Amino acid sequence: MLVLGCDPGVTGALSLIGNGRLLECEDLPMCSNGLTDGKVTRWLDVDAMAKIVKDWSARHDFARESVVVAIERPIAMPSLPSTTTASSFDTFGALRAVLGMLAGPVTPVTPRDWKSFYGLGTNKNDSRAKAAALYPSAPVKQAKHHNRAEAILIAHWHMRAMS
Amino acid sequence: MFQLPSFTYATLSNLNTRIEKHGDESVSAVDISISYDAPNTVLEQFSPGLLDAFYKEAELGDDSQGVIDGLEITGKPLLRHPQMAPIKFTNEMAGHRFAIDYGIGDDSALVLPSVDVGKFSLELKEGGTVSMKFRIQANQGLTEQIIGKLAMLISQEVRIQLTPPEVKPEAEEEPSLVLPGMDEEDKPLTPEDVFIGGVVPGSEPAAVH
Repeated sequence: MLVLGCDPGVTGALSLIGNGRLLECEDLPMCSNGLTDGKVTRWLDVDAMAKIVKDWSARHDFARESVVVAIERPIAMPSLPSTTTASSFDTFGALRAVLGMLAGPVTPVTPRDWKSFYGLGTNKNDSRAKAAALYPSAPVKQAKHHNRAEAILIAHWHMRAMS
Repeated sequence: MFQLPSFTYATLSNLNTRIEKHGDESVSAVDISISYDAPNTVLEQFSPGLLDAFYKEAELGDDSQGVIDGLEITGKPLLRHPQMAPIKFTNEMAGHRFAIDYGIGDDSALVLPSVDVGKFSLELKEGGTVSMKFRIQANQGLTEQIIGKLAMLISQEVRIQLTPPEVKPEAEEEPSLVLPGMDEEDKPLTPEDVFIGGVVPGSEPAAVH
């Protein structure tokens, strides 16, 4: 079984694990949304995203494997600007469509659910430490790689939940 | 057994104040609930071999990342039994010193000199974290100020220290020949001095009848 994990967001990441190994991990591709002013000027590059998934599919033979997907579900927080919330759900919806079509069934997971599995709080460095412990080859050496770490941990959570 | 020799972040999750009856005397006492996320190596403090019983190494690793930017990476992150409920220990530890970092400097720490520690509950998490809960009971060193400050820290993250009681080695005292009427700072007499002198310096000679 192969498991795709996704931490959505403008600085999000996507990971693929299978047979106890980290197979792939990449930042989400972003592009301009046509706006030049305002808080949100970028969104998910759907074409580039589809290309990544197709490449992974060819490399790891998705057609012969059972592939499942877990994506962190965004939370609408009244304290955040409405444009930020709209952007989060736009990325989530686009990811849900691309991954659902090209990979496999999508399971949304709340941050609380997958983080409590690891005993994680809000410290991003803890996520990197956990990802590196579980997958020593995880590309999470820099502080900015916390989204990669979370994508890996979401995939690992889903794999353990299904086993 | 479990201890935190240096100040460590934990959460003071609850405080209960009560009265203990010591004979006719009523003594103030508190129960403090602590939550602490520990590395899974803490299991070895409870029982040697417990870490290997519940955790194993990541199965297939390419490059070992022992340390990232000073973060410590646990060597055994994979839970053997992910569906297991929290485990409990009935161990009770008595006479420990409990301190909470408070204010500026060591002098202002809240110190309870002799507490009982128990009711350990350990929830094992994937990735190498053990979420611990335990209870601290104290009936010594409590003042209105300390109880009030503890109450204000409920649900707060604090830095705590828990150290076992010091066991002082029993030193064998050498027999001293300091006699009555003699200052302790004076050089002690040897048996020969007493035999030759017959009297203790500074004291009246005993009357002979």
